[in-house]
Amino acid sequence: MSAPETVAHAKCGAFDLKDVSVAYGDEVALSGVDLRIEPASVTALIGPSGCGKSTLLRCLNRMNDELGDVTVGGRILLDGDDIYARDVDPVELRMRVGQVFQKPNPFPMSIYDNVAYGPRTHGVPKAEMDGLVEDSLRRAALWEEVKAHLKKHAFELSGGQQQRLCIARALATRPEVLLMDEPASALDPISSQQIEDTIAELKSDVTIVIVTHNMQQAARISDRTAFMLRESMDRPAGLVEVADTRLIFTNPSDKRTEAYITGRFG
Amino acid sequence: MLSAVGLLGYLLFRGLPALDWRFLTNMPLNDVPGIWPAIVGTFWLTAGTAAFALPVGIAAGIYLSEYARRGRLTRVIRLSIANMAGVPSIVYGLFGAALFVMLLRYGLSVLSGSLTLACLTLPVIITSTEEALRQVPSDLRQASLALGATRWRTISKVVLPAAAPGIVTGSILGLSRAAGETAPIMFTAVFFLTGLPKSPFDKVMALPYHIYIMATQPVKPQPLVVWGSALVLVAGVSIVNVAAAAWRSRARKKVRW
Repeated sequence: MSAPETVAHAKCGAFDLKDVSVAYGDEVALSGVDLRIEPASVTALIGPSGCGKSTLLRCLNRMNDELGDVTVGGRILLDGDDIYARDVDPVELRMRVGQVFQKPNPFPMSIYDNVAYGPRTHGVPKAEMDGLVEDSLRRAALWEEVKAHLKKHAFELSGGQQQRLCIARALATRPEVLLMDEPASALDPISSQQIEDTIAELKSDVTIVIVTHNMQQAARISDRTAFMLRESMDRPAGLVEVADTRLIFTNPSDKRTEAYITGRFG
Repeated sequence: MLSAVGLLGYLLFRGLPALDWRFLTNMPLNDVPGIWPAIVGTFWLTAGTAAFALPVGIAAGIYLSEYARRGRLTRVIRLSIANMAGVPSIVYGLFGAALFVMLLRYGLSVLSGSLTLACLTLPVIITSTEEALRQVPSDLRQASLALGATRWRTISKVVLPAAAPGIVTGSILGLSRAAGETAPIMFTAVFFLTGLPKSPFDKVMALPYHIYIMATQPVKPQPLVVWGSALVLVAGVSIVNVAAAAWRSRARKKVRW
C-alpha cells in the first residue's frame, strides 16, 4: 500500500465574501459580511452565541440549502467562481469544501468504509481506495492507531478518535477547504489538543475555516481571526472586524472586539 | 403479558394433541384430516402481501420522512394513512371484493387476497418506516450531504441501513397481523375445500379461514382440528416475530447513538 502523493492546493481554496447576508424565511440573520479567506491558512470565526458564525460557515459549502427556507444574498467566490451561480452543483462544491461537525458523527459502518464513503460517492476506482484511505487517515493523524483494525466499527473508537476519523473522512474527497464547526468542543482536553495539532499539520495544503467558542484555541491555531456579533435581536448579526490573529488578540481596532476577547461579555 | 402467556398455554394445551406429521401434511378430506393446503395458502397470501405492501409502504415512508415538505398535501396524506389504519378489516374485505375480484376480474385468488391484505398492512409499514427513519440522527444526513453525496445516496447508503432494524420489525409485525386476518380474504381469496394453488389466480385455503369454518360447522364439529390449526397459525407467526426480534437486537448492538 503506497500513499498517493498529497496534492498541494497552495494556491487554491481562497474565499471572497462580498456583502453576504442570510435570511431564514423573512428574518435576516446575518448581513453585510465582507471577508477574504486566505488559501492554505487557518481562519477562525469567533463571537458570542447567535452571532451567525455557524450560519456563515454553512454558506461556504451551501449546507444552508438543506435547511429549507434559507436565502443567501451577496456573492461568495471560491477561487474567483461564484458558488451560488446557477450552474454550480452543490454536490460538487461539497467535494471541494469539506466539513467537520461539532459532535463526532461517523457513519454506522467500519473505519475503512467511513473514509471511503466520499471517494466512492464520487467514483474513485477501487484500486486507488486503499491508498487514499491510508493517506487520509495519516493526514488526520489517526493511521497509527487504527491501521490494524480498519474493519472495526467506527463506534468502537473513542470520541477524539471518532472526530479525527471524521476529519479523515472529509479529507478523503481531497477538498481545498475544510470547514470546522467547533470540532473540539465535545472532546476532552487531550483529544482537543490532538485535533489542534492535526489542524496545524493540515493547513499547509488545505484552507481551514474554524468556528470556535474557545478564544485560547483561536489564538493558538489560527492565522487570521474574524469577530462576529449580533448586537440586538432587532438587527441582523454582522462581521465586526477581521485581521491577523495576533493583532486581534493584542491590539483589536474595535472596542467591541476588545470587550469580547477580554471577557467582558459573551 | 399474563393474558398472552395464558392464551398461549391454553392453546398449547388444547392444540398440541392434534399436532402430528399427518395433520400438517395431509389434505383435509383424507381419513386423517390435515391442514396442508391451508398452511400453503397462508404462506402464499402472506408472501404476496409482502411483495405488494413492502415496496410501496417503505417507499411511502421514505417519502414522508425524507422528502415531503410540511404542507396541506402532506397533512392530507398523513390523515389518510391514519384513517386507513382505523378501517375495520371486513371493510377491506368488501373493498377488495369490489375492486380486485369484480372490477379487475382477478376473481377469488391469491392475487386478490394479497392485494387486499396489502391495503390493510400498508399503514403499519408506512408508519413504522417513517418512525424508524426519524430516529436516525440528522447528524448522519448532514455528514453525508457535506461529503457531496446526493440526497438519494445519503438515504440509501446511510439512513436506510441505520433504520433497517426498525423497518424490518414494523414490517414483520404488520405482515404477521395480515397472516392471521380472516375477514379481508373471506370474499377475495379463500375457499373452504380446495387443492393447492397452481398460479396466483387460483383460490386457496388459509389457516384463519379454516379455523373459522371448522369452528362454525353445524355438524360434526372437529375441535381438535380447530385448536390444532390455531396453534399452527400462532406458532408460525410467533416464530417469525421472535426471529425478527432476535435479528433486530443483534443489529441494534452495532448501531447506537
